[in-house]
Amino acid sequence: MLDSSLLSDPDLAARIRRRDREALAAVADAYLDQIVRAARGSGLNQDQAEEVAQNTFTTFIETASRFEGRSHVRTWIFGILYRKIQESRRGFAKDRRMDDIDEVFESRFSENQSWSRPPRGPDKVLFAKEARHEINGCLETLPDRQRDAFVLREVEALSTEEICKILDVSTTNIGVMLFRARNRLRECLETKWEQT
Amino acid sequence: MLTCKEVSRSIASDDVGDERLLRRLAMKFHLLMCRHCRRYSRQMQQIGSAAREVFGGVPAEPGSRQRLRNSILDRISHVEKDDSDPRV
Repeated sequence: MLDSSLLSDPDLAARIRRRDREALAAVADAYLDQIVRAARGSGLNQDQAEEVAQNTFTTFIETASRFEGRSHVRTWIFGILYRKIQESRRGFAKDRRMDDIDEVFESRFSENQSWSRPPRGPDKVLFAKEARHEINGCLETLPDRQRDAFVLREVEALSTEEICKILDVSTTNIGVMLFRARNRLRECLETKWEQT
Repeated sequence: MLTCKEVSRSIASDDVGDERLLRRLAMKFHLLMCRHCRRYSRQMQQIGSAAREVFGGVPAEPGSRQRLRNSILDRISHVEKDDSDPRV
């Protein structure tokens, strides 16, 4: 069994840099599940997620000597993961620069900035049920980066500061990405509810 | 007074946590008074919970996790220790 107390070793960064096998193994063991889960959250199937996780840790091991310890080792590994995911998307990137969700949001308010089309949907219990049922399909409609930001925030519960470092975006940008992701998901659920 | 649009924009952007106290109170007060924003806020929370339930509960199949873990640990066991780090 690996020693997870290694992770709180104040010398962890130095040990990673020295490519100390025990330290690398403890780190891999600690974050493997989270990395596979995040890869799944980004839209990959189980096999693809495991493959990208494997590549992520390979890169982590190969570049360990460059780890300066300025950010958390988890941030470093997630950064590797999302760069790999981005690279693999480039081949089939869709043009999604147009973002109509901002207009949709605006259109729900009147000139005095109160709701003109208030949010609709079933009551609390039913909405939760519908959200669980439909969230996968609705996530598919999100632009990739918005989806990544949303998954890191909601599923991995990372701070916005950490997400900024992982996805290499500014603090303002992360707010906009989350705003768009959540509104798009909410609109998607509302539409599905109205169609039934 | 905060408007509905400001309140819902803040909620969706996570622009709530470390705001100044006064604004936080104003948000709370607005939510208390406005059922539409309350519903919006609740739906946003429920969307987050749904994602956590759906993705948080995806454990790798034990066999394939073990394979993946072994292959990474195997890779690590072949690492040449690097003692040349000038920072140490």
